[in-house]
Amino acid sequence: MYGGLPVILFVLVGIFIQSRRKRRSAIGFATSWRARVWLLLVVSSAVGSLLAVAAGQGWDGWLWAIGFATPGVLLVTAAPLLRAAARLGRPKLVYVLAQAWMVFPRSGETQAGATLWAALAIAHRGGATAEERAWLRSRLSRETRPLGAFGCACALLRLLDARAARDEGRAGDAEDATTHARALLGTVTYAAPNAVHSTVRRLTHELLALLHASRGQWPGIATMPDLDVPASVVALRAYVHERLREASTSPRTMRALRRARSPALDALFARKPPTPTIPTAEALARGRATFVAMSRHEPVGINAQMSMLWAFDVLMTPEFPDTAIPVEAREDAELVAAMQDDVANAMVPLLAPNPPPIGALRRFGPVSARVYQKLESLLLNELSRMASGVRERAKETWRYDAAREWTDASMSRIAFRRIEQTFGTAAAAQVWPEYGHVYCKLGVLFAETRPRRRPLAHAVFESLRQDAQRFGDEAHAAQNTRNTLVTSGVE
Amino acid sequence: MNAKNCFYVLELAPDASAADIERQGRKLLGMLELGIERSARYACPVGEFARDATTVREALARLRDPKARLREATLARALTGDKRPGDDDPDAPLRDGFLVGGFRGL
Repeated sequence: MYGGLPVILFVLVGIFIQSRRKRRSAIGFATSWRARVWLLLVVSSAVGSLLAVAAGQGWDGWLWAIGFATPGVLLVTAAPLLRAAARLGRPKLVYVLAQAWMVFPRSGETQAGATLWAALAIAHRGGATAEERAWLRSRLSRETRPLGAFGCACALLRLLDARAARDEGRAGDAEDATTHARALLGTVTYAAPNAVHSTVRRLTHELLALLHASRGQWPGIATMPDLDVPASVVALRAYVHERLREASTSPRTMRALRRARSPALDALFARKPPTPTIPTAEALARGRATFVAMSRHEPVGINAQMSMLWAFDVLMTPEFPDTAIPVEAREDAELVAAMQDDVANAMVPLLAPNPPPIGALRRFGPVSARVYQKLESLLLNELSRMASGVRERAKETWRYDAAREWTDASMSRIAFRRIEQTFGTAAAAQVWPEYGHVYCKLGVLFAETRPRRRPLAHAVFESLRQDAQRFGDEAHAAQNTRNTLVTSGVE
Repeated sequence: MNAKNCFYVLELAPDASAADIERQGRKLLGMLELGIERSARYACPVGEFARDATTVREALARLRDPKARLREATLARALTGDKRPGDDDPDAPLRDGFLVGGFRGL
């Protein structure tokens, strides 16, 4: 027992010196007074319990030791405990507890951490009012170290905004807010390990998986890393791997399903496999129904989107017996083309936020070809606008508040991702050099101009590094690897 | 924008005659002039939207052109369907997916 104290002190000093040597500042104790207090309390608790065991005799010594050790254990396990407390749906209580427990001492995100748990409590409780969202925003704006918890809190706030907009009938706003949230959560996954607490990382993956599932973006779940995630996410991932790719349910999945105890998940696994062929009339009716659902900004799966394109190719072909083109218009080629254009024009804004992989279509019809061309113009214009904006911003070194910069960095990446998602890797490789150059400029701006936001810059460089490796761009991959090393600290 | 389809604005079926269109347009303009509340909004398959005298006049003007009327009618017919887009499909979105994680507010 007497040897325990020097060992603890030796390990703590070792971690501190090691982090300084690497210039990474793996622990942010140097800047945050809360973190210093946190360290002091944890060490005091450990020392107190050791001394109590050494000095006391019998049960008294052990009781004193447990008394001293309890605050230390609570401080060290604050984040998982707060995650569980948030399920009770008491935002103010969770906020105060998070502040008192000084969560995230490593990153020092005291405001963002507390706000994240409060937002989580509201998300579990349901029904965030405008006042509550304004309160969360004001608390979040006080954060001086916008790292992973900050990004995750911003995303959660946007999801709460989306729900409020949906409840108020503003479906378009809800869709925008959801897209922002998805992009922000994606940015958190690229952040340096030091900048994201493990509890926040797990929460980020959980939210991303549920968001993908609720939007029908199953491929997004399939590519998620195999982290320690809740049973619901394990079950969702297993659904994608086993049901959408093969057709068997492993014992591990069954265990996860039992643990999750969710009727929605049970219903998901009860879905029947797709029928190889369906009657044409049924397929056309489904295509129309998908169009109606998308016009209402309801989520629609990728296969349904592709089937809709096929259905309207058929419906808008004058030679098809059940064509939707009126008899009096069928002979007028110009009018038919205008009608096909109308349908494509109506579809493109609905498809653009989450475009289907239209580049994978083997044959194009009168509507899908127009949709392809219009989507291509729209998405490439969006990327060009983003590139011009970033160039101007880098030239003038314009900086904004942390929430806006997190959103800007996330949406800039999404502009590129949409092109890859829609037209495939080959099309993305064509625009990669310009995107890679411009997005890197944004990262450099965040890293090198004040206020420096290197953790955000790290997320930018990390996403670029991964893309460069995928596209076989060795020079960019090496450059961004260096950039990620330089920005991997949390200071 | 589908919600601005002239037949939706006038709350008419896509096969309405020119006379029906004129009659409905005049009726709506009159109701809007009198400030009758229910005339300020219209429901269509896409949702419920606001309507004013300008939108009604624009819809009327567009539908007076026979070719434009055919185009609007075709688009309005395309947006009809009493089915849901296959909730039972294996890759259909998991509606209320956030409830799986216990998030009642998302």
